[in-house]
Amino acid sequence: MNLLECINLCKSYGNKEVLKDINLTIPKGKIIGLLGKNGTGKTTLIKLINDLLTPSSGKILVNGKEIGCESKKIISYLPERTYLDKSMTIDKVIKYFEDFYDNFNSNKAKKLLIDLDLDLSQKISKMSKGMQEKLQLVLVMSREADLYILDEPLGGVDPATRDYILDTILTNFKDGASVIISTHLISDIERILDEVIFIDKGRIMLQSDCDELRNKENSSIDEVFRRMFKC
Amino acid sequence: MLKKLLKYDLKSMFKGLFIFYSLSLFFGVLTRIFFSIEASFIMNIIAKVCSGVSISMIFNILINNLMRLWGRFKQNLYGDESYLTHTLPVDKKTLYLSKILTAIITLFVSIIVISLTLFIAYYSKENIEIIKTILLPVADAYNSTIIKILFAILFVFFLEFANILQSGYTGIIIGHRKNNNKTGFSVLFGFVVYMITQIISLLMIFITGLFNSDIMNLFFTNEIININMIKVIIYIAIIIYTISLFVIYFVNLKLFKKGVNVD
Amino acid sequence: MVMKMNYEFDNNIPIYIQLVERLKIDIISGKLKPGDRLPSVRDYALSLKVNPNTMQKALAELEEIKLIFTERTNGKYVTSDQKLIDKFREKYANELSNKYFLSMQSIGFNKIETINYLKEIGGKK
Repeated sequence: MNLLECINLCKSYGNKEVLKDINLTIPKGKIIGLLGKNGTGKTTLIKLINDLLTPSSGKILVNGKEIGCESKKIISYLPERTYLDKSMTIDKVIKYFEDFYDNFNSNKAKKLLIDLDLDLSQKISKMSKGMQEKLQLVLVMSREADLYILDEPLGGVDPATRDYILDTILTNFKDGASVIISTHLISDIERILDEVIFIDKGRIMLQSDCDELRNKENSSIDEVFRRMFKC
Repeated sequence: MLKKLLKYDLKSMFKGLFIFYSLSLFFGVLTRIFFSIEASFIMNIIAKVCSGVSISMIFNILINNLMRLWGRFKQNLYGDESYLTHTLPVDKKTLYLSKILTAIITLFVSIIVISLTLFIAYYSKENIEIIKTILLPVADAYNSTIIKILFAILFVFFLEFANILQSGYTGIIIGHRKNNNKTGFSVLFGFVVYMITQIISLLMIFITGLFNSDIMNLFFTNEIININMIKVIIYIAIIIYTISLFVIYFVNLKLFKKGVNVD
Repeated sequence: MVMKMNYEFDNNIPIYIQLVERLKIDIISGKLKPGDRLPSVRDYALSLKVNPNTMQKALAELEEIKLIFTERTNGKYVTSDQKLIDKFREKYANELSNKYFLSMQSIGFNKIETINYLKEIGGKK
């Protein structure tokens, strides 16, 4: 059974169609890049999978079942914004995750945060935006999930942070789980991807194994993408 | 999971309300102290100021309670925090139920604190006598006690607030189904829903009036409310507000379960 | 046990092919000794900052050509067959030399001239 499946998925706001007839399957145990320019529907697709948007039509199945409690137990999601209650301290947030997610490994989270030199009794509102984003990444990667969905984890960060983020993803995801990473910065992450999905103007343009694509096109994924979308 | 959600919802609400509770009680005590010190002109002024502050703190508690509940509802279920709330392995019904229970519990506590402040600041033989002269005829007429009547009035007051609050929730839920100007629509729809419950209440009282000429007179004469009617009106209010609370609860739940569209 | 190595990868060539190449060099150069036990696929992948699936694919390829072997429960080992390693070493050296000769040829050196040139600069160093 496929881990995730989208069937004829559409989403529109009023007359504006944002996603058009998306058909997609995500297998187990793969790292997948969801690649597209800004404003092409990547975030919309991810929000639909995470129950933050309601589809206009079509279906999303996780392990064969519609999204709900069961899918949320096994999906660990990093949105592109800060979503924590800023009046809480880091300790409290860890407790919060521990309370709600059975698969949250709080020791791992604490260790990763201490590695970042963070004082766990600190209030989130006192932290810089960059630190808040790292905290969220650590929380998300400290869950032993079956599917990690990371929306633009590399958006607007410096090269050192980018390395930290990629390392944290690669070293912490659960063995056998799948990871979906959405980004428009392809060259930075393509070496860790198994598969890529190109999305443009709300449609899936291509889904392929990375190495097959490199062999076929005789160039990097980044170049294939640039050629395809002329940017 | 409900227990855990409730824990966080209540904590966040009481954290904000605590300061108003303390201030309200504090000024209640000050009012009492300054009024009890034998009247010099200045003491009297200070006492009146404290009394004024106590009363404004009481309104503060009510308004704050409502605004904070709505604010948290919006932020937690439709704002930035909703990205976490909706991805918790909890079903939508539990999310909504936790919000409603939080509303009921905080309103209940607020009303107790308000009553306590009033009691501390103004309890005296004379004031009790005033209340007695107002309520005793009512109580007598129905073989009831003043305490019971007082509780009934407080209960109606509580239901009224719960109703306003839940109408606001409906407004937020419907408003956020729109694609733009969500806040504006939230306020508009909330107001409309509240007005609808009020119109239905009036209608129900009117229908009761068909069987009770005293009540019918309310609509067509300028007569001051007579004692006989108070109890009937309290009963009707309790019944209608309770029904409307449940109806709106199920409507909201149904709308909420259809899914959200978070910005 | 996990070795820290920093490999740069070329995004134009399938990553697993580059990995196979790197590991081959590590074995024939003796960086990985005959009979050495390799880290687990996941650890190995993470130490090189690559996707575990890619590492798996590369190791399978190396197993195919017998440079490494799997012992049922204990993991993967570098082959102890020194002859085989030498054979790959020879082959690799051959490929490199041919490439070099070809490059030299493109700037007008024939084989003899190239060898003489090598001797000359080799002697200097």
